[in-house]
Amino acid sequence: MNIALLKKGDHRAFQELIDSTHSDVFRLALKFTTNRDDAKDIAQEVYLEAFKNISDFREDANIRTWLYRITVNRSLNLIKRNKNKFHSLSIENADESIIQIPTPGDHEADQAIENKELKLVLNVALSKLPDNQRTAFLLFNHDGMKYNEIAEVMNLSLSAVESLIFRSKANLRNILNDYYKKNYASAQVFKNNNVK
Amino acid sequence: MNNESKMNCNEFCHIIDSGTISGKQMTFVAEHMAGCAQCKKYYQLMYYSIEHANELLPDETPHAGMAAEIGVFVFAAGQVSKTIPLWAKITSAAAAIAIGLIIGSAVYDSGNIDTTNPETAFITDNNNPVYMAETTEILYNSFLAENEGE
Repeated sequence: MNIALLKKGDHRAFQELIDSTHSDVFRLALKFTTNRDDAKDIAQEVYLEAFKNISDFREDANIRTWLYRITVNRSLNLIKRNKNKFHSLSIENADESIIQIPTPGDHEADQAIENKELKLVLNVALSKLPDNQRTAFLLFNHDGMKYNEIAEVMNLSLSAVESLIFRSKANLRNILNDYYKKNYASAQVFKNNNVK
Repeated sequence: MNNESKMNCNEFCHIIDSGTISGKQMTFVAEHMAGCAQCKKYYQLMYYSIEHANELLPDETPHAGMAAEIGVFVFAAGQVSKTIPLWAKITSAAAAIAIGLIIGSAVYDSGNIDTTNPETAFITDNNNPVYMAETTEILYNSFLAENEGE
């Protein structure tokens, strides 16, 4: 990537940057928003901001990390702007539509329903986490990003990132445990007593 | 609940709650889950969805042509912001501040009374009883000064 050309405002160089990175930016935005249209809007905003502020970019930094940082900020802003839309999702609302009894022996259908439920429940649980924990968790699960890369995107120390990921998992366990107890463990006295 | 499994449900939950499953434990966990639907669900929710979240989070590639669409959007929007040069933005901001100051000072002056000039003040603020008393006092003192010695 020719940063000097990018800084000069060269359209062809910038289009090359878009071509080589837009898939990663879109996929990360999609993890935050779970909506393709929103993710595309965010990707457009990310590159517009990058185009306008390319002169501020330090040449020794990683441009993908810089784009990820803008993506995270834009995604969190969009979620804040559309608070009602994102908060209307709840595990309770999901129960009836997701939990169905599959046909006995229909293993694939059973698996599909299970995955659909897990995906929905995980996304709702993630939306209940504080912004910094959710960001750390999503980056950790984006293309196997390493702690040091996450630290660079979030502008935090390594230990802070480790702590955020640890706390995000602990909080997710609490939320998912509540969901399990409510939907699956009511008849299982042993687990109600055992599970924290 | 499968009581015939080598691992009982209590032990199963204990391993899942620890957050880490070793390779050896995974064999027993898998064996137990095969015969216990509730424990399988517990594993899926409390372990798989967190430790294998990358397999559950949305991960779709952008549609073909999205890069070009983003380019068109960026260059068109970037062009609009570049058509207004920086010097024009600074000049308009400075002009707006200057006009604001002029209007502000005019409004401020119109609300003030020049108390050093009793005649003007009398005309502009003749309804203010405090000021009327002060004016009377000034006129009285002035009268005394002019007629001193008579």
